[in-house]
Amino acid sequence: MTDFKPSILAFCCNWCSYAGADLAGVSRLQMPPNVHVIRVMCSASVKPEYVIKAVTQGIDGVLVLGCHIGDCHYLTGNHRTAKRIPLLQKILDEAGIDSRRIKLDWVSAAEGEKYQKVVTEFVEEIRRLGPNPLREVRF
Amino acid sequence: MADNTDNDSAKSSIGLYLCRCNGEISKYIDLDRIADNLKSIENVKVVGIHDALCSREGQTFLKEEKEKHGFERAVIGACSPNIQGIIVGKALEEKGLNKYLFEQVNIREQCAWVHPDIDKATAKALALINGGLRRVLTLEPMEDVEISILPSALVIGGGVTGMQAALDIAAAGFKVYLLERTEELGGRAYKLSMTFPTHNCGICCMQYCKECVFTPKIEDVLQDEKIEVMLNSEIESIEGGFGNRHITVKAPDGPREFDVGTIIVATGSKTFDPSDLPELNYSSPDVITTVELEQLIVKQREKGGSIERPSDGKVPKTINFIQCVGSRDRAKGNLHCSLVCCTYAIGQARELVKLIPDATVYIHYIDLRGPYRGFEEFYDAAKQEGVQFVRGRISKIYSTGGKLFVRAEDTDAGALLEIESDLVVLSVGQEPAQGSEKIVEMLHLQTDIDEFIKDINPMFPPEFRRGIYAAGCAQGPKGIRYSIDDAKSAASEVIRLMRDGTVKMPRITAKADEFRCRGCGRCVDVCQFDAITLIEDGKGGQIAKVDEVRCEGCGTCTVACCNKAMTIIGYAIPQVIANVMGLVEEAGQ
Ligand SMILES: Cc1cc2nc3c(=O)[nH]c(=O)nc-3n(C[C@H](O)[C@H](O)[C@H](O)COP(=O)(O)OP(=O)(O)OC[C@H]3O[C@@H](n4cnc5c(N)ncnc54)[C@H](O)[C@@H]3O)c2cc1C
Ligand code: SF4
Ligand code: SF4
Ligand code: FES
Repeated sequence: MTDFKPSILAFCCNWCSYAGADLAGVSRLQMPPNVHVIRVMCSASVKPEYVIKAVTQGIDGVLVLGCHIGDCHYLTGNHRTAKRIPLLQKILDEAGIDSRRIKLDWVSAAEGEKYQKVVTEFVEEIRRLGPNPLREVRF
Repeated sequence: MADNTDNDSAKSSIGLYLCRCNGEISKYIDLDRIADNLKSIENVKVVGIHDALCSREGQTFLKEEKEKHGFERAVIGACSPNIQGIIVGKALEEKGLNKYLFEQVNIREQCAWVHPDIDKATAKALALINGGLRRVLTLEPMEDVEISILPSALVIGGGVTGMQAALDIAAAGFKVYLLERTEELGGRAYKLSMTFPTHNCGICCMQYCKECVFTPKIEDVLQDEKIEVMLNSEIESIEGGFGNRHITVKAPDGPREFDVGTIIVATGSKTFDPSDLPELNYSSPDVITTVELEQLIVKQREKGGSIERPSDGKVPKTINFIQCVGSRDRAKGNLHCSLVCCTYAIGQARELVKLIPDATVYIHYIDLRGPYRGFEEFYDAAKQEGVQFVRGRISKIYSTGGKLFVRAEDTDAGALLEIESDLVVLSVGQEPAQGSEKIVEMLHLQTDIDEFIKDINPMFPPEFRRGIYAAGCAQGPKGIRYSIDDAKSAASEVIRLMRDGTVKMPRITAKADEFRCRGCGRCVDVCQFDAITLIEDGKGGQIAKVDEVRCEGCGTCTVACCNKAMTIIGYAIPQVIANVMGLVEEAGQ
């Protein structure tokens, strides 16, 4: 498994998590290069199908990052995210996809270090889980 | 990218430009390799690399390139779009590129600066840019939303902040509705006996005090023809969006309705209620708050004589001030510092020493905070005048045998003190005004960790506030001077908006597809901004319609819609999926 290079997507809300990822950069906090950010306006606009699409295309893990509860730029958008993602995880589990490949977390615009930590730990977790079995199929 | 031919935009051409950022990117990412890899991709008409696209030379370069190659869409691989993005695309926009056909890919903050291995960073940048290329082809040309701003303002709260804002806006010629829920204007400052830093008549100039040489401000407000003052009145409801909001006010003589273009929230603060903390013994008549002491001082001014304590009218000879009551300790109220309490308590202590020359006045403090000009001198004068400063927390205030005691620690002397006290004054901190959460909800404002209204970074473009400003203590504890500053800056922003009369907002709003929408109304239920209504579709059914002024573009409705009818412009399913696929192509190997 030494040459397994996990490929991971991260949906980051524009207002907090994307800015947190930028702050990590500005602070030059080094992290593994496996996570690719897709910017969305709010974590609440991450449709489950985006995540499913990524996973069925062989992506090894998906992070959904939003503002901390109470800090969503759209007030309570992330309350919905907090309900949706666990539901999505359940569905994926039912479908035989390890739900640990999906992770929801909150990263504020001031938390460059937390972003680094979340990314580093998630890459490690996915490394442990091994490649997404759907990699070979890609439907 | 070979499977891209079936889509209309396949014909459209992309200009791809990579920025070295004066080495900040090119040191960590092999841009030439990326350019080589991507130049042969269909739709990519031209690939260019520049030292600094945001510089004047870079902007000229982009303009020339646009003229020379005439591409319809552009992808820029450079810094974060949230940092310099607004600048980088400007040149292309000037040369006729629709700004909605532009995608800036972040290869600096989220790539070059965080990955030490040039090969890996290059591979990631390639994937990110590929995602951007795929995405840009799905974007549609668009115009900004133009919003008109009604030329009238609502100011909620008639304290110093609200009055100052109202006066400024009125002076600029606009109609102002000034709403105050009590029976008089002036707010807290009006009830203070003296104020820092003059230790005299308030800088707000509204005191009854005889020394006041300035024109009382309340009169100015009442006499201004452009200001309609509504006393004993509260907001009933607010409807509408940026630039045009319909206000219903509950006034003593029935409801009152009007429309405004802008709003300033100046609801101020309330003070912490010490009865929540039994160790303070606030139920004892001679344990009072600083607010109550103000009333005693005002009473003394009117009546003459000395200060009289509440229980028996005796002139107090030993007085203890307790600082940070309800502040700086989450377990005992709030975590935030109320900023003005050290200052005003010192002012009150000085006044007491002056009124009762043989009194001993202690101030028990954790540390003194007065980040104001003149504070150090004020503090020094208090020490000269005999005020005793004791560093340390108090553990309790208790009564026994008809006497009042303060048990305190003096950390400088390393001693525990039991001080018999005639009067104890609690320097209570500030919290958001009663009911301000209702206003926050009606206006969709955000609050901060301290529950006060969030201070939006003033560097953000003014459109971010959607015509609503919070000022003064509504935005956190502060002194009068700073409240006035706040009021003036909010007023000037509001005036500018109303003078311009219109504002352009990026069109990142939801849109319902009339063919897919079944009128189920799920989106209506989830939208917090009341931006969606169901309208007749002309065929006997209903469809969703989004008010693009009210919609803030969060995308919550798009997930709620089971029929894929609702999308956010620029973030529709194909647009996000294209981005995902672009990343998968390169990263998922
Ligand atoms: C004990 C004490 C002493 C102080 N001493 C000093 C000092 O010496 N020097 C100094 O610079 N500062 C001092 N301050 C701070 C000063 O009081 C504030 O800076 C100032 O009052 C802020 O003015 P404001 O208009 O923002 O709020 P406020 O004075 O609180 O006024 C808010 C107004 O809005 C009204 N209102 C609230 N909610 C609504 C609603 N929903 N609808 C309609 N109306 C509403 C209220 O009735 C009130 O009239 C002191 C504060 C305290 C607590
Ligand atoms: S949720 Fe979808 S289908 Fe239902 S009304 Fe809204 S847009 Fe139409
Ligand atoms: S995007 Fe958000 S604000 Fe706009 S209509 Fe949908 S739910 Fe409402
Ligand atoms: S804007 Fe960040 S989670 Fe909603």
